[in-house]
Amino acid sequence: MISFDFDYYKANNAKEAYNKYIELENKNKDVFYYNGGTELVTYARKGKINFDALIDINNIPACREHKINGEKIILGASLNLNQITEKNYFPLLSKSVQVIADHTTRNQITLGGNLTGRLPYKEALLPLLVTDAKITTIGKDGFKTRKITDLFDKRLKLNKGELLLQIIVRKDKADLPYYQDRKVKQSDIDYPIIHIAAIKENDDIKVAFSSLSAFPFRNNKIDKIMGNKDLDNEQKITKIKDNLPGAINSNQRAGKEYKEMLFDSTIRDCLECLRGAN
Amino acid sequence: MKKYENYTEITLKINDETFNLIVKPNETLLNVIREKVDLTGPKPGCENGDCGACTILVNDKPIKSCMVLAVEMDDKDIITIEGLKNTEIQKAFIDKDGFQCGYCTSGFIVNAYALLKKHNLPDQNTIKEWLSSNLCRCTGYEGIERAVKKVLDNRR
Repeated sequence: MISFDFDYYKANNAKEAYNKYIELENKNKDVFYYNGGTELVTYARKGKINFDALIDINNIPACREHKINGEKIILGASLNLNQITEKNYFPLLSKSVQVIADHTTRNQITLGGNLTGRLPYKEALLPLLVTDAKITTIGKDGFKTRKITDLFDKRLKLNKGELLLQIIVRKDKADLPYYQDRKVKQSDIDYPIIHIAAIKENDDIKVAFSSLSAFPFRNNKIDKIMGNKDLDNEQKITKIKDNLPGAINSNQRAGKEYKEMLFDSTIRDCLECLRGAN
Repeated sequence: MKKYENYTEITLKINDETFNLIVKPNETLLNVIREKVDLTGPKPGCENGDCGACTILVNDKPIKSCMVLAVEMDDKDIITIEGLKNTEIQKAFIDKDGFQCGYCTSGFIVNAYALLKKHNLPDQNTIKEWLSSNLCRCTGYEGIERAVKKVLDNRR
């Protein structure tokens, strides 16, 4: 039971959801879009979050889309993580989301929720960053499709009320050789100490990290270092650490030094794994 | 667009029975099932999505009912432990001592039932992946594993 009252709306299409959001916003209401609900319900129950209204977007057809359309994979924001793993159109994404929470909870956590929620890990984001995925949203200028790398800086920077509808990944990128690893403290069902996802495209390696610092990231300088043939692995590790966009941080799960050691070894494994891959 | 505010009527289909209920949007499904439908099989444990004691099935998929709003489930098919009476997995839990204090048992049985419905002969990794969603604070995991394996042995 949540200790405060709120209104709940079930939207049938994207426009309706966005218009309702703006209408409520103009009445000074605190509104959230509601997808899987795992974060909103638990946070609200604990009193960590408050709202006047929720707009359920699960019935919006675009948010439920899950198909290959020519050269593109279309992933609706309301797909749950198990649906993504079971269809497995994008193996790196499947691997990256299969380790989030537990199996039952993955029937509730949605792709859109993982990308836009308050938790800093956003592990589903990593494969999308390295494959230059695009996202479709609806906002004040109607429907828009943009590269996720242009919108993500510490968090997905959407305008007020802008609703994430779909993620679009190029099929050829989704089929590239990849590396994925996730280190946890003890149980598999835990937030990560470090999560890394990388792809190899021709001689380039594109890599993204979560939990290493306060926010997930992919960085062009790091990609260039990873693919630089003039550097050996240890030189690459040193240079990457000099170019991290955020400091490696300590938390309850691991100290900075331990994280750094894990970081070194995962980079080595990643480089070795992708060395001969084509 | 359908709006639910204050007290609203919803229809829940639970264990093949239809319930017309008056609920508020802030009520979790777990609360409504226990307090308004009087089915107390789904247990409140952590109420944070960690322990799985409140697991139910929605359209045959295991869901933690503490993390779902009742209004969300309007018109969906729900199965609770009470709907799994005399199933093979329930009997296997009894035969193989798949419980100690019993508080987590309903969640485990519901989850194991869904696993065995989806996978005829799941491998060890699949069993582990699914059942890791539930916690047994008595740590009676061996009995639970024996119960699942008994059903698998019967299928071979």
